[in-house]
Amino acid sequence: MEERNKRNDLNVAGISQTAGGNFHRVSIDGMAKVNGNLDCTSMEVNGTLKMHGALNSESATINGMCTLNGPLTSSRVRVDGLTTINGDIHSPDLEVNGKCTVRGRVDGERIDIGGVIDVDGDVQCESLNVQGNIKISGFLNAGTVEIRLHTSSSAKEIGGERIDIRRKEQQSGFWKSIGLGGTPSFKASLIEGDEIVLEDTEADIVRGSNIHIGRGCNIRLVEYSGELEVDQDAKVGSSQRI
Amino acid sequence: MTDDLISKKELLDLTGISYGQLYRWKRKNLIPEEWFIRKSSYTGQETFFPKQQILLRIDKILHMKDGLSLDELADVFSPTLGDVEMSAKQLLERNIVSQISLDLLKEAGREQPLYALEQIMMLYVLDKLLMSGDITRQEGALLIDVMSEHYYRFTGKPSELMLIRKMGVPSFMLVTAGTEFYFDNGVKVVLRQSMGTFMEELKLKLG
Repeated sequence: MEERNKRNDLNVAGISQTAGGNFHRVSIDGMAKVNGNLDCTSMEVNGTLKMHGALNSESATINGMCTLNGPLTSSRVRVDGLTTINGDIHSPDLEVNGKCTVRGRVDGERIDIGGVIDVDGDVQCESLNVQGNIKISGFLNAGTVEIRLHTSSSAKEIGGERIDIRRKEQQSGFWKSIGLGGTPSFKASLIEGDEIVLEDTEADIVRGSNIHIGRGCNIRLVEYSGELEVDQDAKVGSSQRI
Repeated sequence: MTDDLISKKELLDLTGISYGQLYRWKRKNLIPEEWFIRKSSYTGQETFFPKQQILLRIDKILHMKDGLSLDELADVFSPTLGDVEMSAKQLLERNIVSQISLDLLKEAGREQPLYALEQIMMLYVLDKLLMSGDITRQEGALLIDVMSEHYYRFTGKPSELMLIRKMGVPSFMLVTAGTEFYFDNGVKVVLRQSMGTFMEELKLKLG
């Protein structure tokens, strides 16, 4: 493959339809439809992009609206607008401040969510940091999970080393003012990890070494090997030392 | 046969590893996704593993991880072939195969100036079985045939090597790992080994 910086740029400022291909920098400021795969150094969407194919870019920034029918592979992804990806995301660095819907799985190293993310498949990463709303229909496998609850979030199962799910001390202006997403809570069927701290969480089973069940939790069964602390405002069906 | 499963809880109990370690190894692809078998039990959904394979794998990870990073370990366990090319001289110098195996290969008319990993693997298996006394030179020639003709079909998939004898007549087979077999009474299974184990050993030697 030729060097990426020797390729042409693709700029869309009005309304345009292209077939995809290999480019250096891609910038979409108007409305664009891409019928095919794109391979580029950087991708920036400020308008609307609808793509049928795979996107492979060193960095991808989406400020406008984007629908991608295909997988997204990039070393850096930042979504500030509205994005739907009908495919998998592979990115070591994913940041979502807008809304991102993924009809596939997410593989990454560092994931930062300040907005809303909705994933149909599994999520796998080293660190997941959430200050917004997250819904994972599959299995979340992460080294460290840190979730500050603003609205109602959920995951089917969580497995990892450090899992820390807590209520945000003071409901911040934005989430409160829009009044969407429901009360701060987290739902999962199974949570397994070494160090677990939970608040406002509803789960069937929680397993781990050192577990802290904080206020507002409702857990059916807790299994622990180290220490277990249960807040008086929490409901735990039964707990068992293993 | 491979129905022998171990639950996640028992596994952690037995090996002394933590949930965190198990999940980290899964993320690093040290433990393949298909070994996580979901089954419903009386407490709800539970995860099970193929007992023999997972215990062996965890033992290996625990004993090798001091010398290698997790990413290097992932390479060792991946069933795919890497880019390696070596001459017969290099293979001898690095003590990967002995002259006997190379001679056998020459007799079979499959000598080459450079060997790719697939062929090094074949030589390594041949050498190991010859040296351990499991097979004869004649059977070695059969092994060369079956490996060179068919091993590529199992690229990236777990496979097993089998040697059967009936009335002293040997025959080699390459099969998908875990397949069941039934023979008539005259057949004796002399050897059945997973190719993955050979590959792991070889990759450690090469790496």
